[in-house]
Amino acid sequence: MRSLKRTQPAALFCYFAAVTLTAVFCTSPAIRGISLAGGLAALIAAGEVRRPKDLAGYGVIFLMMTALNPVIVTYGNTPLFYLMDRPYTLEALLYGANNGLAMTAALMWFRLFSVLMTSDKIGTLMTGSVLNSFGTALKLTLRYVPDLRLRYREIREAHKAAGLLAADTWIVRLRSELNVFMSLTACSLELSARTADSMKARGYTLPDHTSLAKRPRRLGDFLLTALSAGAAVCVCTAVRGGRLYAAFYPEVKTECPLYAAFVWAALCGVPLLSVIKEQIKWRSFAPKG
Amino acid sequence: MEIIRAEGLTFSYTDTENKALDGVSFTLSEGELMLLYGASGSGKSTLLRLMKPELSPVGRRGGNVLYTGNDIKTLPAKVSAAEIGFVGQDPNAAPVTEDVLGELAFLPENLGKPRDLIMRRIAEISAYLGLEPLIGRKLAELSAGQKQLVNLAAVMTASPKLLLLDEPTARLDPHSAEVFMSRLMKIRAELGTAMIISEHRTEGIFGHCDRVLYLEDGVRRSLLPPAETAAALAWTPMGAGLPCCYRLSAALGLDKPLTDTASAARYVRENFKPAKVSAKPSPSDKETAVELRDVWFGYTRHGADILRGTDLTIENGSITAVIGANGTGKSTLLKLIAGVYRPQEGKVSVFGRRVRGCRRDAAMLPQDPAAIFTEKTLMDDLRFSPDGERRDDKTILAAAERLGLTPELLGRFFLDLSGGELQRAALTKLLLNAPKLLLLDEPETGLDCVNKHRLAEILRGFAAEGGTVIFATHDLDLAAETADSTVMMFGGECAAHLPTAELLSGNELYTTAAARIAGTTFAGAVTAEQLIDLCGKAGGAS
Repeated sequence: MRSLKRTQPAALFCYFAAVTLTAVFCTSPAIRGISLAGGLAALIAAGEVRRPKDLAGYGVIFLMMTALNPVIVTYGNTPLFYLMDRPYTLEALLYGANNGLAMTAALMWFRLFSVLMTSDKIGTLMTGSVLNSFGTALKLTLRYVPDLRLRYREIREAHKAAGLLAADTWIVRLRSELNVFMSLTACSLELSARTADSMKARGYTLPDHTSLAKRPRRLGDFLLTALSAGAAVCVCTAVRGGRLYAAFYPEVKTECPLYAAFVWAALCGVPLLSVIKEQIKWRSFAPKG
Repeated sequence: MEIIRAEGLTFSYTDTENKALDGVSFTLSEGELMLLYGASGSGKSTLLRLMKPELSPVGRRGGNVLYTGNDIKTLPAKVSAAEIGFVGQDPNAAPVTEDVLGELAFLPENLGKPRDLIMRRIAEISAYLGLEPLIGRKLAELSAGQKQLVNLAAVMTASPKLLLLDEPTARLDPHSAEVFMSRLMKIRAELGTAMIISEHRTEGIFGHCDRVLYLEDGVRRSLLPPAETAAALAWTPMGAGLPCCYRLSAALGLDKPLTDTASAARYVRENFKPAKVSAKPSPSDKETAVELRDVWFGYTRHGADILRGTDLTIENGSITAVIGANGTGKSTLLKLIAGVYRPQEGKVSVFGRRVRGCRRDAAMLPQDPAAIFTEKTLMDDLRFSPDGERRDDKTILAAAERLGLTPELLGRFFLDLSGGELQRAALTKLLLNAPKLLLLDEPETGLDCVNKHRLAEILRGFAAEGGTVIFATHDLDLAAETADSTVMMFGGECAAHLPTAELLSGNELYTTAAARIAGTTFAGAVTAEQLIDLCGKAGGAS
């Protein structure tokens, strides 16, 4: 995954945008399935998924979306059984499964996105002297929510350890939790003020900032951007031409041309291919004999 | 060349008539190091901030501050950002970016330096301060000592002429504090950077500074070289915060003071006959208050274990200090005893019962005491028990007075208090719940020597009434003064658990300056008071 980590943030951003948006908005089960397989392979290659248990969350979401859709939607020609006098149809079940595919695929790709795109990298997407300042502010904003969650945990632990978190009645419990929230607000504002002081003391308010981030792009960055755009255009063209579609009601009809599936698999396979390429390269570097 | 000059500097914060600074004057030249010394709330931080225009507090101000001969108020923002570096007390407050490289680049980027120059400067300063292994790492992964070094390097990237440091080692363990101070001394000796440093921990800095500016209630009481300052302060309450060798010199009436621990140790060895500290009677047949058996704990499933088979027994009515470097598991140990976490393996018992959650009779003071306050005034904060029962004002005032909190302080917002005041306020809040077991995580942070002594007295009083105290600390002098026994943590295990005097006398490196000076001549002496007492009993220099 090293080479993807070294990729220009802008190219990486285009790649993830192409994969996730297409997986969500193209209703073809083939495209969504390929996206899911690509995302899963990428997470395994990145070491984010080590054992089946790590996929439990995704499994629950997929199963819930699959099983719940026929409870709400009763369209479809093939009732499997009746639930409170409402048909539970095969078509609605498959529609739910198709949406579950899109959701789990998107979650997997978002997880990979968070591994590869740190808030600092997102900040470096901004170029130019004015946007550099904006980039710093953006980085801080992106870090704010995870930091706040961490601080909430610390403050709640501090209240708990100090014996201030009573739980005798629900009113007392509510007040204790409210106290944690008030401490969190005061401490967060104080820390923000101190960080602002630190920024001011180190010239953040000065005009004409420069950046340490490297701007020149490598061929690989251009290729990745071109592949992302090309694959997305290919899928969109196939959808517009009526050759890539999925309909579930009243009966399931779906079609996916081989070239679209191949192009899409190539795009979703980029992380896995990059890991395979790295392993081959490292093996070739290893001393022989 | 004169770098900075203060002329009759006076300052009052907007919300009070009291003067935080009153007519303070001094000058500082290139390569000079000045120590700001004084009790908590004596105006040290205010003075430092008035010398950094971007951080100047809001209030009424009189007198002048001149930077290289020019009024600091007219100093261009770019010059101020580049030439006056500021490092604060909290290593976590300064970082703006996520990783070390970004943090080091932040100042030169803001100054508009070209990329090549920024990279060269970062490479240079990283090599100079030994930070290369940290480049590429995330700041969240670093220890407090490493973060503080990064904060120092981050201001050094612009080659400042003046460094202002506000208690930079307050949250560091002794070794990290020594490393930080050694880097500062290197910068001063080799680069000639002028420095003003405010510190309560004077052991590593006092002998190196050119002058000591002693502040009392915002007034300059003295501006003298270290030896003369020590002679003037030795018999005052603030004298207790001076390095042990200087206190010993003053007590022995030496004309030429002993300026470092090694020379003081040699002097004691050569001039006194061996004697021993009378050992404290060991508490007998006391019940067990806290027991840990083969405790294993890690924060994440795949991460490393923080505690690795820890065994520990602590007696009821005792005071125990937990010492060790940052990251050895001191805070985790306290949280397990408090019931915040449960061990993955092993057993933690308090007062004979297995810990399964937080107990009513145990209370823990967190590292950041601000975390347990919520209300607009301290009084409002202390008024209600955790169950929502209202306490009468008399009880609150009596508890607050015991910890030296005046009614005026009780009317303040908790974030307007100094570090020492906040620490005492938090302790008052805990003691009002009448715990039997008190756990304190680095209670010395922000305390001056007078308040540290007061804290030691409070803890001893609590233990004398049957309470049990366990505190994690980086301040070995506080451990020596207060604790009956000391636990030394290393690699998630209790490397040693012995009576404090025995442990600190036996340690060669991780010990107090007094124990180093006493050596084998006065075996068992671990505080400056014990050392001075033994020297006095031995009848002065033989």
